[in-house]
Amino acid sequence: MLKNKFLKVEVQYFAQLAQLICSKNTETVLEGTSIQGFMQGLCENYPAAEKILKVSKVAVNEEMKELDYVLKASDALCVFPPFSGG
Amino acid sequence: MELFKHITDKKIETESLLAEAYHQAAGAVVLFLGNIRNHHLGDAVDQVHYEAHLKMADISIATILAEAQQKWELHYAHSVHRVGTLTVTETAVIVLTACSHRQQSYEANRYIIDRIKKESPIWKREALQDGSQRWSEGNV
Repeated sequence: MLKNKFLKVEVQYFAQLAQLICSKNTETVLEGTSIQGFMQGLCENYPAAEKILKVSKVAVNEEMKELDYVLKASDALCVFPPFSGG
Repeated sequence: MELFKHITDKKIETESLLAEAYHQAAGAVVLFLGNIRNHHLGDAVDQVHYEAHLKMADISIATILAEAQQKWELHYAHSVHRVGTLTVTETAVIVLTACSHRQQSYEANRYIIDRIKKESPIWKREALQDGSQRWSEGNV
């Protein structure tokens, strides 16, 4: 029987997401999880943040990544709501 | 705060930054200041708080400046964005461009601030006069 493998990633939330998502810094995800899958999980766990999560971007190890990026052990994720500098 | 070239938690010193933009080959120096205004969406604003992913915002602004410098052959391009809590009339962001001619200098300056607003990981939260706070919806 195949066993699911899990890996740990670090996650940091910014701006309004930091207030809406009261989460620990380390998350455990199933091996093979993409950013898209990770974000879908967040939407399910934090419905109040869903609207913002759907327009948010994710950086991994300080580089912006597309939704199809597959997470690796020890990746450091930053979840960014739409930017509003200036 | 760690030192960054394009992100600061200190007051933006407009005059000294402007002085650095002077260049012998530049006939046009354009200065843009993004200042805190006392109103937004019909509400009275007291303060604006900015936060950023400091390192990524710094790199983002540096990249935008380098691309603008190449695109318009600028003699000088610089920008600094402030983080922390700012009050009305304080400067949140400065963009300076210096070029041989005004058209390129204006265009490049507009290009830089538009891209910073859209691409640099910086966020603002307004403190309204009625005591409430709200995050800017940002550039989706």
